[in-house]
Amino acid sequence: MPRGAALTLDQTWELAKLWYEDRLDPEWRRRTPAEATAAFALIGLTGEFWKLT
Amino acid sequence: MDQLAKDVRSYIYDHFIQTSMAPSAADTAKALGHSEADIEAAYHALAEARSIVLRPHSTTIWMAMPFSNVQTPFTVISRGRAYYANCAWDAFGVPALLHADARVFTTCGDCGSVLERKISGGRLPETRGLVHFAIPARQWWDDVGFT
Repeated sequence: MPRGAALTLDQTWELAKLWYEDRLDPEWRRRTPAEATAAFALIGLTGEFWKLT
Repeated sequence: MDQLAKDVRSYIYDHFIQTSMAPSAADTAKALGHSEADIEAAYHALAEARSIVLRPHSTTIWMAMPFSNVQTPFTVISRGRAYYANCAWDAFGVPALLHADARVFTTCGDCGSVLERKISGGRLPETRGLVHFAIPARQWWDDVGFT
């Protein structure tokens, strides 16, 4: 298995909020790969591991 | 996403929140007043759009992220109900989605001991621990169950 990435619990909570806090919006739509990559970068998740594009 | 798919997606989440389980296509058809065939088509469209995950070759919902419709190592207690989440990210995703306090339970991947972390008032009071992401983002959907 590859080494992967390790996140602190604070980072994981920030990621969870970023990803899920609008999920119940009836107009919710899935982020495009470019939008998701940009969203990860907002909370400091950058680099090849987090790239979707 | 057409209006029926949006309505079905909302119903799936409502059902998960109220019961901790996903609705069958028959449940959703009855609740929304559509044919089961129409609902099954909507389930497949939502799965194609990666809004939900179906069990292979079926219309049974496996995941409506962050919720899991099968038992997992990640239990979340919130609003007096217990939910299964798909992974550590999704375990925190349940209180993020509900905008509610929660207690998240799992076991330590290193030593096997039970871990509990609370979300309270939108904050994480106890931050000891790490979450391991094994699979790079580009490959998450290659086998989302494994991810």
